Amino acid sequence: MPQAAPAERVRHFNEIDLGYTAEEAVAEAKRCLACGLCSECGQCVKVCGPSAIDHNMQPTTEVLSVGSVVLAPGFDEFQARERGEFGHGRYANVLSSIQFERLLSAAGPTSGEVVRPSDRKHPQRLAFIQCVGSRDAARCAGYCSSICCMSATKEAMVALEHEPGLEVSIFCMDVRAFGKEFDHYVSRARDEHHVKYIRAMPSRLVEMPGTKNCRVRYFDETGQEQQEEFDLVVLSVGMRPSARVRDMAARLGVELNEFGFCRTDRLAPMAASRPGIYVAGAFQEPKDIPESVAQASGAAACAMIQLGAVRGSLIKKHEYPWERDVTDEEPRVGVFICHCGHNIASVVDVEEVARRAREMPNVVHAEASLYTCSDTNQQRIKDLIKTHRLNRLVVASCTPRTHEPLFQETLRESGLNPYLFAMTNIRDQCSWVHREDHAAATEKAVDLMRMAVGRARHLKALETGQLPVQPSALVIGGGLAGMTAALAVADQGYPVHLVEKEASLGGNLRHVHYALERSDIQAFLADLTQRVTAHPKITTYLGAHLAQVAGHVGNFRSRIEAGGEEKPIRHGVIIIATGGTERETDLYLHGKHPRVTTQRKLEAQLAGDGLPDSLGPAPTIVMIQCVESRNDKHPYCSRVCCSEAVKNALQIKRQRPQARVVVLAKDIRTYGFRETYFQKAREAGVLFVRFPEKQDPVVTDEGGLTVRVTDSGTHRAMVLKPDLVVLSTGIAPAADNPVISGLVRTALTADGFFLEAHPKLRPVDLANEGEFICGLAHSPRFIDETIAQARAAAGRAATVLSQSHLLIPGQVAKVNPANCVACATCVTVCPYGAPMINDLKKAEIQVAKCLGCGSCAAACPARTITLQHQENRQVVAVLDELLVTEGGQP
Amino acid sequence: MTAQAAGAAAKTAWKPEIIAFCCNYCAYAAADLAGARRMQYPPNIRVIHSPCTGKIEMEHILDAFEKGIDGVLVAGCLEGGCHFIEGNLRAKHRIEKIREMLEAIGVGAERLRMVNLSAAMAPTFVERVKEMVDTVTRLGPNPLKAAVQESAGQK
Repeated sequence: MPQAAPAERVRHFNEIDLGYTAEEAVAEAKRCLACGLCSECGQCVKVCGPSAIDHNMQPTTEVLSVGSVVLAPGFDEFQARERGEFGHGRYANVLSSIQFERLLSAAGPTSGEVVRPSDRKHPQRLAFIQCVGSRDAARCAGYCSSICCMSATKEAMVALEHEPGLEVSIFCMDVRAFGKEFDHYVSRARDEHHVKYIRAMPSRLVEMPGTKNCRVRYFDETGQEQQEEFDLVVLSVGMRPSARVRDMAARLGVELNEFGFCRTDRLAPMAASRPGIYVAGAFQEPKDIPESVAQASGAAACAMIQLGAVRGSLIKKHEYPWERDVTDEEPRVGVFICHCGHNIASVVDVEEVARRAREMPNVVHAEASLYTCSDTNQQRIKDLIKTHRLNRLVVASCTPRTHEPLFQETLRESGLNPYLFAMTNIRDQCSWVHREDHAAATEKAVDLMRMAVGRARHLKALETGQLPVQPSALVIGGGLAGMTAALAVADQGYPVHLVEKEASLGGNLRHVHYALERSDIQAFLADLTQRVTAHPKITTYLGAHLAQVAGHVGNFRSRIEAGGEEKPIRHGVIIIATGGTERETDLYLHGKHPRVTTQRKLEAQLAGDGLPDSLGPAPTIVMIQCVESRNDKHPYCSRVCCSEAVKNALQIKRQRPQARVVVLAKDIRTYGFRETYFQKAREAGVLFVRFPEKQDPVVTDEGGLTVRVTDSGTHRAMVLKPDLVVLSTGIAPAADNPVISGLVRTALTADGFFLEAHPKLRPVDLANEGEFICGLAHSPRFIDETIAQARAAAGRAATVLSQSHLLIPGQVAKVNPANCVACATCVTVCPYGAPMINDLKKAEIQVAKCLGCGSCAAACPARTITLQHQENRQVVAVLDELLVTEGGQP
Repeated sequence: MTAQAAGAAAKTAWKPEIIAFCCNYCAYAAADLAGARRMQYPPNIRVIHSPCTGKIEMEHILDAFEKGIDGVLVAGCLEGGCHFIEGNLRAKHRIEKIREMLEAIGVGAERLRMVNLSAAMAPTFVERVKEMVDTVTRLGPNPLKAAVQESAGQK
């Protein structure tokens, strides 16, 4: 408020506050309810229509009685400020990877434009510094955060999409692209987008005065000192255990490990130290999205095993009123236009839209309301359905992607079929995007409403079918994954058919004798096998294979062939756990020289009688990594080999402390807590030599076994004369994957593993409903990861098996057989195998397999397939309402 | 008003009418996101919600042109990213065919366009809408509309 100047205040007591002008007073009044800080005036309580604000709400304590607990508290990011030498928080153009992710986001502060904070200019040169707060024993983080190599690569690729021509350098110790298809992604970044991976750890950053660029000093792979300036530097910050979980863990009586993550055993990766408490996600060990999702499903399966006996006992079944048959009724449409508070009504004249609705034929009632989705309004809709005997409902409001189910529920509760509903979006597609032109926005909203009414007149009640579920599972493969999945399904109370092609159970696990943390793998296997064979709900078929799969989710009919006989079985789900094999190789004189062996054979030896005495007390043993992995023929990483080499190297050092062990690798990918063993191996004197990409070592037999390799650290050629060469051969997909993928009609990746429904969010589901994968059938992985995934598959399977009936949505395709000429176009175009040619030589849709995409309907040359709820006349009615005027003319 | 003046007035008042068939999983979501981010675009467009671009039947697009629509946008997932695997590739094929037909009958292929975007690509959605509005504004009204009105007037 303006005040009188001090000079004018002399010698009188007149008011010094001069008061508001009319404009100022109005502006001041408008500040009300635009509170910066709450002054507790209580006006908001009065203003809020649905009375949703309660200032007197108090925290309450609820007591729940539960059978098990799942902990998934996540992680914190490492505070980059702790590494002061990188200047985070001091240098304007140094961001953490989390901040950079936000900057890249389309919904971020710059709408996804890559600008540097100091001058909002587009950077030309971008650097990532990896392992900030990871692999850093000095900061109590002697583990690898597992995700940063890929997240930096992804952020680089996204930045390049925004800024083509951007030069990106990633400073790292190793490139740990160990996940499924990750190496393909890194290759693309490196070869097609010229992202540079520089094997160096800069010790500090220096901000340039003036430009605010950051100078990085490092030693390159030839040992030369380099200085480079970057416009923007991103610090890839590691995962830290969440600070708040320490108290929670103490309260729950759950042990944490040395780093503050939840302590678990590699053989029970979801079990916390206290029985009945399970864990999932990065709280257990740093991990990426697919591993977290799989582990979460696995933890759910663990919880469900505990609760198997009481499953469903607390569920109250909702009873809907009897559905009214409206087939012979004239359409009586009710139209509801939503203000969405100010969101729609401030731009669109909603009363006008309602008025125009009332003028339309068949519209019996139309009104605008403040929040159509509110509870009070749902009740009003129900009442109006009754009083006006409405049989179609149109809502013009927000997006059906979030709100359609809510209104459909209201229909069901009013005794109407949920498909008698049409929704149109006058907020996201109208008021929000045409804010400046109220008249045009209103006209558009009227059009959208009319189109929805046009569609509503032709909507039909659809039956949501029910299919009984055969509550049993087929598990293909009797290795670790298959047995774990079978047990996890059977322990929940469902019968399992377990098919193993070999004469005994165990698969690859029979060749694993010890793990990094455990030495009793064979005892674990014996116990697992015993529990599977003794389980009353598991039927095991040995020396058997799958001959045929028919049917669909909830009701598969398969044939298992064993010993020349075929046995038909019925089951509700399929779990594929076909495993993998050790990759065969004839590289590096393998098979030709007696002292060239593989890790698997070495492990058997070390676990048995130990290294042969002929090697002497101080043998030189050279391990070569990535044999038949990450090459042109097999471009993927086999994930486990680095840790296997570390494991066996440590075992050698235990048995022969004098032995000289040299591991030749492109990268060492000991991610997560396995990093600590890489550290231990180095402490034990194991030598790790990195060789450059495409410059594999050479093994010859000239005057004794000789290995030649280029050390990328010094760029010098090394010549080694080992007593033993150990090859880390990769993991190959099972040879019969193509056959099985053909039987279940699912796809394989280019590398020959099964292709999941979504690489991140549905890692153990196949594209077809009711089919799941786990273990090496999915991709190379460790024991603990296989167990997590196998339990996840069992957990996902239970989502089908626990239901007595599966609901089939109404929006499925339907064939009118009268015009069908059985051309089988529909059979070809359907990605899910839903159409088939039946005994009458007509196409027929197996509704349980239909996902309602309508591909067949659009492709049918005879136009005799209809996608229900998207019928021809429904679409035409929408077009007519928009394009044909009342006189019937365009 | 003379007929000429009426024609001129109609011409200045004409605003292109465009339909966008949007697939459920990507394009419709991208349009929603454009709204959530309050991105502004011309109000000439009416979205029709479709389960997948692979469901959009050729007849419906032709029907829309016959009834006088000035432009049609078909918006689906990115190639390789279709929720229903290959629906958008089949749509692409169909759109190409219809474009040939539109060109052949003098309506013009440019009035129909297929675009691919992910659910996060709201800016692309907005850009394509603007481009379509510009294209159709340049081309003028759908010639079929005038033809139909004329034949109706003669009756």
